[in-house]
Amino acid sequence: MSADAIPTPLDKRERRIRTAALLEIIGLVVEVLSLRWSHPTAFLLFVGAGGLLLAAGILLYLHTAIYVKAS
Amino acid sequence: MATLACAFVALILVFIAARPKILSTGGGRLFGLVALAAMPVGVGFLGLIQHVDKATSTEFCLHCHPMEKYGKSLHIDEPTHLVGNHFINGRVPKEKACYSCHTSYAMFGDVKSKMRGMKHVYVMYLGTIPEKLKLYEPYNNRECLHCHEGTRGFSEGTTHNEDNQIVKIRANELSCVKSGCHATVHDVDNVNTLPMWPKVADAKAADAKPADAKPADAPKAADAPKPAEGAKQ
Repeated sequence: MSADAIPTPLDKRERRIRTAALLEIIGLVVEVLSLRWSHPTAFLLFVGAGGLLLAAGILLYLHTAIYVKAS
Repeated sequence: MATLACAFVALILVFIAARPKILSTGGGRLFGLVALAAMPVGVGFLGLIQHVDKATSTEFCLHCHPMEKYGKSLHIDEPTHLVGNHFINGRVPKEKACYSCHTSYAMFGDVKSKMRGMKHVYVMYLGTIPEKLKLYEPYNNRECLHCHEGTRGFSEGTTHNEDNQIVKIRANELSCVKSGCHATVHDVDNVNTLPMWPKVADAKAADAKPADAKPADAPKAADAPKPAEGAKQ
């Protein structure tokens, strides 16, 4: 195996970007599930869980992009 | 549409989560801004639109137990019953029956209805459901006139034109539903004893039908007098 193929460890910025992406993926999954369910509670799930996870992911990404420098 | 968009954005995010290093370059930063901020906001908005649209369906409103009797009242087969008369005869779209009459046709009517809907869900699960459900504010004639204004039945109705009542109706000074004219609306107290239209009524409504209830057929229902034609009941 050549040295190029060895994955380099992620720095703080990349780890936070990964966390933001994962939060948003979970948020999107929750939103899709809520869209498949026709019930008043589905709207609460959409806003309360899906929306919250998406917002957390977006804010984490924006904070990282603005304030965290790549090492 | 929203589901597909969510799946597409999720795929891009999976790619980013697997290779976060791609966002380190100049072009990568722009891609990150689009994929991690702009696109999720966009699909979230699409989902919100889809949810709001779903919330206008009759099925959605009737999910909650306190609405059961109100749902039954849609099938009351009595010409003097405003709700059944509108629903059975297709004067409101069947799939959006509740929403057709219970949204205020004004700039923020939909938004106010949704906010109240959120409160209803909260009360349903965590609050105390009142014994008798009441409207938040007196029923505005504007909701009736949204469809009936300009129709022959309303404009030329004998009673509507007596003593210039039509002016008071338009000004919301004389209520359509509280003036003894079209006052029988949902009638939930008697809904279990009134005849239903069996072809569209659910099994429970059919079970509740009394023995002397006359089977209604489609032509008869269609011949029922229009509620806004002005005949006093």
